[in-house]
Amino acid sequence: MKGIFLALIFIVSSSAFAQIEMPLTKNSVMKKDGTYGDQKGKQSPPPADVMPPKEPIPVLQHDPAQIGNKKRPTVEAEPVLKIGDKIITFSLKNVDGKNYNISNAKKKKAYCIIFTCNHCPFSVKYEDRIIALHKKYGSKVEFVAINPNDPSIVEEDSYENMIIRAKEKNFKFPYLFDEGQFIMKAYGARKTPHIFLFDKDYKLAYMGGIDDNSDDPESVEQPYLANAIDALLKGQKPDVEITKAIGCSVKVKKKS
Amino acid sequence: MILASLDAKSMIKSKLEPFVHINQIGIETILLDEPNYNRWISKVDKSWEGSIPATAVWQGENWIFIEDSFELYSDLQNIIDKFEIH
Repeated sequence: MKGIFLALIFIVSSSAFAQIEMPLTKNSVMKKDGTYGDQKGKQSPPPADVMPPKEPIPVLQHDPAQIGNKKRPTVEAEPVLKIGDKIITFSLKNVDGKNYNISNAKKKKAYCIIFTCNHCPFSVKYEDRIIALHKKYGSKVEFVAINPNDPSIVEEDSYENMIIRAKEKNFKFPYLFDEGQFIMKAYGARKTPHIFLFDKDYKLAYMGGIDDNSDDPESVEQPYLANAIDALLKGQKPDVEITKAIGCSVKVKKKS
Repeated sequence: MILASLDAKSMIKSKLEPFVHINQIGIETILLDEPNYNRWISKVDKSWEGSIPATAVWQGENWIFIEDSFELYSDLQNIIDKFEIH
């Protein structure tokens, strides 16, 4: 026997075990005006200082056939969006039937983009906390929730079901459907929930998780997102700019 | 092979045990009860963003980490086949 052989698989029981998922497609479309996704409907051009990065969008993928034996990585993976990067603008359909365009949002002191969804147990655990954060900070911080999942894989995340959830939970913030999954790819959102917090100048100031205990709000020691917002409201940089949290992988359609 | 469940501790009886039973998972299943994710995700693999399902396969120094689900059983089999098992 050549050393111990081990396979460790991290799961959550409510996610489908044999879920069909495939790598993201190679090329995401960026529109001529520098925005991604559905651009139907009236909108004004984004402010001059709100432009997405020009370089091609990195692809999240794995092809088991191409993977050889390798060593454990010694450095952190480079995120798609880096701290300090400008916001990537978008215009997506809201649960109220209208398009929401971040470029047209009222000027605020921070902009909090939350990739979340209906079905993921981690997203569900954080729903009430997101509502509470919006209640506390909503007048100063723009909150936007985006569902990045393909409903052909998880029906519970369909636009119709988003409308139902938004009504049930009485969301007072936009809950947008990332049809075509362009925005998720442009941001490098890998899971739900996944937070991207931008400062008043639309620069990325914090990304990652909401706090350090998904199971029990009472046991939270580090409310990362609230701390980052507090810092931005004081005109400071957050002490913690990146955190990692467990979430459900974004559901991407099988390549045919 | 070990399955590491990230369910909440409170869900062992209501979700995890039925899940293991219904899916007839005949492999060791553990509950990873460490909610401070930021403290350990990178210790498993620095490239891991934290999405699940995720799979680590290793033998000695050789290490493969997949942050995705498998479409087919054979996809997981192919990865395991890359290791020399005697």
